[in-house]
Amino acid sequence: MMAVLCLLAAPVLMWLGQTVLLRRHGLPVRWRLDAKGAPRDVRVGGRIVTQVTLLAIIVVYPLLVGSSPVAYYRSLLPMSQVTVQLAHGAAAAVLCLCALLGAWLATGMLCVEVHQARRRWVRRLILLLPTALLGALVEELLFRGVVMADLLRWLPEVPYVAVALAALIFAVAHYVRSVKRYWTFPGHVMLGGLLCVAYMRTDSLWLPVGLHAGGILMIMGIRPFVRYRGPAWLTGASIFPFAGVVGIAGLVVLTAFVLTHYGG
Amino acid sequence: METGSASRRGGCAVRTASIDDQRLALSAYLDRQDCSEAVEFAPKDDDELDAALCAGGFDRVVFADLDALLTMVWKGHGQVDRWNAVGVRIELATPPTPPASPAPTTDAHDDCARFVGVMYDSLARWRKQRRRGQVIAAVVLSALALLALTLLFCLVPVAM
Repeated sequence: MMAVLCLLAAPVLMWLGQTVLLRRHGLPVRWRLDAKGAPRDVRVGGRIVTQVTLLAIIVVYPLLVGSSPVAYYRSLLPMSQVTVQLAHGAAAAVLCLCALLGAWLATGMLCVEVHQARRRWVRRLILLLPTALLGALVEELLFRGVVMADLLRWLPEVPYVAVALAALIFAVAHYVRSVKRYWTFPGHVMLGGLLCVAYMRTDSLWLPVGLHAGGILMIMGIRPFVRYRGPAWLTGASIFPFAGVVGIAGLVVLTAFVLTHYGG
Repeated sequence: METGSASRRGGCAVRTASIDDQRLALSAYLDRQDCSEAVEFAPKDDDELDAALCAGGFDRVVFADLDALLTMVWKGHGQVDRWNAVGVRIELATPPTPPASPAPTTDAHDDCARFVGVMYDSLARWRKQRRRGQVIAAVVLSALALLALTLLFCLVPVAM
């Protein structure tokens, strides 16, 4: 339960950081984690506080369980499996999203429309690969390497309960800050479930990192060029194509694929 | 001139043009109409302009020409009925003129036919542009899917 306690401390630290930044600008305290409409310093500062807090949890947790961070994460990232599992996960996620987006494109529920300035989307495409890999790695270190591993140690007899709890924590963590959409929650739970199953079946973070990075790569790669036209409950929207009914079904299929091919 | 969002009420919104001729016509029109305080929206932000107009954020909206207005409608972002409901006045910097004969005519049938011609040309141009975008998207998605499938075929026996 050490990891969950560490994770619970994160929003408190993030809120304290937000409060200090707001007060420095002479702005009133906000009870929610919400930087909307705040000066750029507050928004950027809030992001930095969030990243530092999450990285601190990733570094501190192994020390709390009596291991060095290097040794702890080396055991979760075995170099013997890096190519196969990373490529396998990324390919599966890309294939699944290509099928989903292709279907929406063919039925007119997704239309091609460049809605970002050229300079912005070119910069995003150049940074796409490192952003996807780094983003996926940090989230996997935290939610699978720390939270899921801790829950599996706490509940070794009932690993699927640990999967369910870790998936729920993963989803809730995406809504700690004020967000535009809340209907995407079931999609986040299902995505968390897939990544937790991938970790549980492989005892390694490479497969979840591959799945996660492949998803980010596709979603962020097409984002500047398309608009969703279908009903959001069916197709998802914005950066959440996995959160519509069909997207969730796709995540179920991917989870079955992982369970079948990585029989524990 | 301001750019970007429009939370204020009243005033003039302008959909900027990307073609030089349209840009010049728009600029001359805005100077004539004394719209120095107009808020600019780029064509990529048509959804934001539509939302601002539907919410009654502006009294007037200026387009470079009829094609610019119609392109927004074809894209699904021009809810003209809702703009009318909140009293937005639509203005065109260049009024619609038939490409063949710019001379005015008194024949209502000819006027109608020319107006339909302008609309059809606009729709055909937009369809062509959309089709090109869809073909590019389909090619990219297919290439990525095939690449991913090849990787899976190569890796599955190893993974099993």
